[in-house]
Amino acid sequence: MAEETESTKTEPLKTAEEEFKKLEITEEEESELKLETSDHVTFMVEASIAMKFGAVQQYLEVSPAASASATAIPLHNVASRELILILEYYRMHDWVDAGERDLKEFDERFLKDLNYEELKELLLAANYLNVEKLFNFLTKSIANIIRNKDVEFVRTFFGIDNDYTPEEEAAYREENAWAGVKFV
Amino acid sequence: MALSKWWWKWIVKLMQLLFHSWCPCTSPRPPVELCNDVMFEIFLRLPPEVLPRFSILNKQSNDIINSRLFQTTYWTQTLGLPRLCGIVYYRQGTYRSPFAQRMKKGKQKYQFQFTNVLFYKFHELSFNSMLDNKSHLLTTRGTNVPSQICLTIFLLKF
Repeated sequence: MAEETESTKTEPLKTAEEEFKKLEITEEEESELKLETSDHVTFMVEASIAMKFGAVQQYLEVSPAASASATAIPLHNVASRELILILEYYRMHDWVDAGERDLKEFDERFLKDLNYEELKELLLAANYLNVEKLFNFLTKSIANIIRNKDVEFVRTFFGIDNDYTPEEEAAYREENAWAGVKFV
Repeated sequence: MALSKWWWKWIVKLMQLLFHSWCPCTSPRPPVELCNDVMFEIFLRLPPEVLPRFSILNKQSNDIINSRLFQTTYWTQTLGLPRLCGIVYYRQGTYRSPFAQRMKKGKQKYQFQFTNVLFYKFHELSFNSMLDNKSHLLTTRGTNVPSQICLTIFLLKF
């Protein structure tokens, strides 16, 4: 009698443990990749997202052993701040329930939070990582920012110095005047 | 267990981040410089009427915009026009350009000249009539363009 009662007590416990194990296994099945940024912060990133980065793909092609998550994949030109933003963007765009409206709102907010320097850094990081979607989005938004601005604004935006002599610049303007080009 | 592990990771990440961003020894950084590839991609996404303005920014940006690769990709990708074989830009007198490929025909001097201004002017023209032919030659003189400049555009069907 005593044995029977013990077994009945342990059964639900066992089933709960099994379920918990199952849950753990399903969590582990979503394999993760270790990414190490330039400031030596390691990120565990879902493989489904990380495989969208061209740089990671290339790295895995060269050394497929790295996918066993024992070694971190180094990203030399990406700081942790930028990687967090990139991951945030990709998690939102991978989210199944996200409608077009949500994505638009998210993109607007995403842009608002960045100042110009951060935007450029993020663009460089996206270029290095070879992430198409984000890269297209950033270049488009930068083009939208500068398309109606005058030359001086764009020079400061890009951090560029004018290396034309005033005569060369004037000659260029004169040469193209017939096409009705407006140099604001 | 799994949750606590996750929390630890998160906390460690946060601490590292905070330390990194609030480190007192960091001095204000110089403006970020974009590399040529990135500038190339940004210029590709600009409308044709503002492109000439952007080649005046810098000699480097002028090089990018007037490069052959940029002009051909801009023509096909951004404007969605048939593949561009070349633009012959003929002008009375000599015309110097580092990007020009010289092509001599008899006594006349023709030059391959890819200039942004041409794109600005010619994207307005309709190309539908000429799409039937495999290649087409378009020559304009007079109306929009000053008379001493003669432009010829070769187009190839996809």
